[in-house]
Amino acid sequence: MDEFDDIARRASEAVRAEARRVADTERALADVGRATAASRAGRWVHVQRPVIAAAVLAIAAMIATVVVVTRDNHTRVATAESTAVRASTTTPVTTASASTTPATTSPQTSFTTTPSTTATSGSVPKSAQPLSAAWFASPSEGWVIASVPDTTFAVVLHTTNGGSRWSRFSVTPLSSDPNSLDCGSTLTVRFADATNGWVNGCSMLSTHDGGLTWSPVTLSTVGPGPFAMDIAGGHVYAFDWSPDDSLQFTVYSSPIERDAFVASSARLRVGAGPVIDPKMAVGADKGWVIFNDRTPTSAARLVNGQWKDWDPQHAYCAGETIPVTSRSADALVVACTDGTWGPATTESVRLFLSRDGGASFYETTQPPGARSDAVLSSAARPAAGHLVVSYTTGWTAGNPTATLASSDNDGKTWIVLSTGSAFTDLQFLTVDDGVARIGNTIVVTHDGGRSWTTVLG
Amino acid sequence: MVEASGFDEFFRVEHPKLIAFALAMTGDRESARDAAQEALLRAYRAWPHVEHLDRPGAWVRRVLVNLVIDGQRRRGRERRALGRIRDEPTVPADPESDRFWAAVRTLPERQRAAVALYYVDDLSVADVATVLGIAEGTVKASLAKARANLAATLGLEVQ
Repeated sequence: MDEFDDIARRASEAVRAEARRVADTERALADVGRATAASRAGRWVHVQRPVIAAAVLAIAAMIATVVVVTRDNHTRVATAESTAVRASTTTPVTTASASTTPATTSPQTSFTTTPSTTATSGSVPKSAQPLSAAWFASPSEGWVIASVPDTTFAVVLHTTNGGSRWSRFSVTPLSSDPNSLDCGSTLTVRFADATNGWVNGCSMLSTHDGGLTWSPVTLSTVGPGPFAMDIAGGHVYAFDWSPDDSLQFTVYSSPIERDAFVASSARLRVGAGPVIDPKMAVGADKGWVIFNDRTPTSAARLVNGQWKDWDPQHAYCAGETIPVTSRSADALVVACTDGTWGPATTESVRLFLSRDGGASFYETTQPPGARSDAVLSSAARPAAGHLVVSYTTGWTAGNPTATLASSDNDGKTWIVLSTGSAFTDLQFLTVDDGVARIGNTIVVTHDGGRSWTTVLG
Repeated sequence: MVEASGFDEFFRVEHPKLIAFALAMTGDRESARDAAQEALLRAYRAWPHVEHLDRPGAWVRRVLVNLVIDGQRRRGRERRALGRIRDEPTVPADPESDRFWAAVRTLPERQRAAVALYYVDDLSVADVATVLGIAEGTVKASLAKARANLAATLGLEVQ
């Protein structure tokens, strides 16, 4: 054994000893883990019932006077002005994220921030922390799951003015422990309208009365909640284990106005691992889901109302691969980090575009600097011809730099919108109007990503 | 790689090993504990299927590798976003171990994972290949490159 192996062995034993100490201090973790998993496996509501009941009573008393029944039978709960989680008037304050990375030759994203949410009521927190990406049905109306630190509640917040002001939408707290909602899978919120909404994390919950009540949605007998969820064209789609108890997954569909999920005939196979990392994109009456087990291993697409097996073989990457489409589903974009796994010596960001629903693809040019040592963060298709991509370069060199780039000609040419801030969960409703996350903040743009305003967090 | 039967036994056997791997990868006790618990929670969630796999241990390690790498990327982005560029390692160990693992954590992800699985988890090259989903030859190449990189960083001789 050479000197290197000798040191490696000693260093490894030191880590193992430390790990044993950590594990020993968590001897009860197995029970906690089982209890947590069990609660997440469908008994969450039962376990939390006393907490929820008390919370509901308290909150119901607080806001009972402000229940507004809208004229189109949508029951909406509007919190009073004094209890609104409110973002103040925009002020030209540059966020830390924008100032920590000096712009090089690229233009710096300009930032304004609507600073910390404020409230005048003692029962309403001074700030809310987003737990999910925001979901906007229009440039003005959106929802987000947030924790409310003062009360430790996780709730759905709602805005009708593009994020300038957020109000508590859900009467019932989604959880008394915000962390219990998030077991590593992406926490997601979707609303088809002011009445019908869904949240998904460790558990999937739905409301069909504007947030007055939330009910658990259980699709498969294994596990508590779907691995991915999205809505489009009057339907909600969820990706979960197939109902035939095989090592396969499928997509379940339900009309938005009630929970009536039906499993599709598509079957997505697990990989050799498997690691469960499905990515879904839906728009209008089309949809695509790609199952990643480090690399894409299977896929399905929505055609004529039916999810069918699909092989995006001409858009293959040796790394995480995500489908992206516009709200109108004018085309499919497959974006990926290539080379994470396999023999490649470097990672790069690649995009493939299909105009025939995923039957054939052509590869776009790569965004600036994305050819080597680049990892995809997020991608969006604001409208036909337009692409926005966020990625980070310089990992190997130990100097990661985030870049936001856009194209208005389907990837033939690109411009760098900004460097320095890593955008995730990019969504665009129009060419100009978009929403994203930077760290734990929700930001919006109204000029195609050139400038962003912090609206929550 | 010893494969346990039943989730309780699986948990008992794998828990400290997963923490050790995550510790080596992250250098952060809290992150390691969270990642190991998350990987085991996912295993529990999918246990009716996972227990029928040939290699449940490989499955949970693959999940853990992804969690750790994704977490590091996310934390890297967040640190950058927050303007906090200072890592805060919490694995005390000893100076030699600290220096070694700090150097490991500068390696590219695949090399880092291969080193941690090979040395800390004591897996064979074949098992490392199974966990990482890459060829044995690629594992050997990754380990060789890692050794060379680390030796240069640490000023060691490699035979």
